[in-house]
Amino acid sequence: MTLPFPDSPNTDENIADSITRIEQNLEYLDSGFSANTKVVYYTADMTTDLGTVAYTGAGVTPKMVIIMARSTSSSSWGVIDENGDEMVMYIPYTDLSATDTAKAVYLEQASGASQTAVVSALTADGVNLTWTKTGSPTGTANIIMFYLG
Amino acid sequence: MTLPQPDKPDIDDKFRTIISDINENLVFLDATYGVETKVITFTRDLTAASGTVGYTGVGFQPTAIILFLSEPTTGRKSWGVGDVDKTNHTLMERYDGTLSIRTTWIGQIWTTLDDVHRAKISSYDADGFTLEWEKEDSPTGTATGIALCIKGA
Repeated sequence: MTLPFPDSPNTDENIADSITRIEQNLEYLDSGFSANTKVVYYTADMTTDLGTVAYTGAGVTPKMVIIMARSTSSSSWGVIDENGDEMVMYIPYTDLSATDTAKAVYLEQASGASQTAVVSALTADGVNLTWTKTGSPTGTANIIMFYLG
Repeated sequence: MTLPQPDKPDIDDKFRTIISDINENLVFLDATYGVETKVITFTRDLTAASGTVGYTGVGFQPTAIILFLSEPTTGRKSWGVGDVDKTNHTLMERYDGTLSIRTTWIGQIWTTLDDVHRAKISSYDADGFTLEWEKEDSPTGTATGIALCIKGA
């Protein structure tokens, strides 16, 4: 996290510019200090090519998201950090466990039948996920997101 | 009679000093109190002996960790948290597939009745954290860990 701190002011004009930038930095720090949390529940149609979906309701730009998701015979626990890096631990239809270091959601209902999602953006009110459907998964996914921002 | 005239106060210089001081304080506040998060992954050989292992690449000293731990061959897994005081708790799947809570560990892989591999937070470090691993009997396999590191205000 780097702030655009002004150079040491050496002219009256620079002083005015520096004050403006300090005000901007204070707003930035205010967001950096905040530790607002929000839990939001969503659903997703497992049968549809969902593309990119905007999940909103966080109320802040998240610095962290925990995504708990389930559908028929499958579940996953994903995490996203402030850089948008994502990883997920999931339990597929085999009832074993696995991890994927490039996805945030991984719901595998049967061999060749899954929905997975990656982060496309952290937004001012939540997160955008881009979904990929493989085969013919069924039903509805239940998704709980815990935001920290 | 001439009164001694005071020097002309250099208001600009004082103002510049104040602004520079404010900037220094902002840098300090940002480094000290800003909320930061970073997710990293690692693997752990479950046949390895008990001992401490440091994990780096976080970029800051965490004050809390959320740890997912899984072993794909047996499917055993755990979901753990550790706070600023290094208090650890985990929800884990036992060797028989049932779920259980442990209040001493942040992660545990329990593959058979006698074979266990588990970890707790030993320290929070400048660029990551150190886990203290403990092995009981002869667990096998390799666990994958996903650690979400948090530096809170």
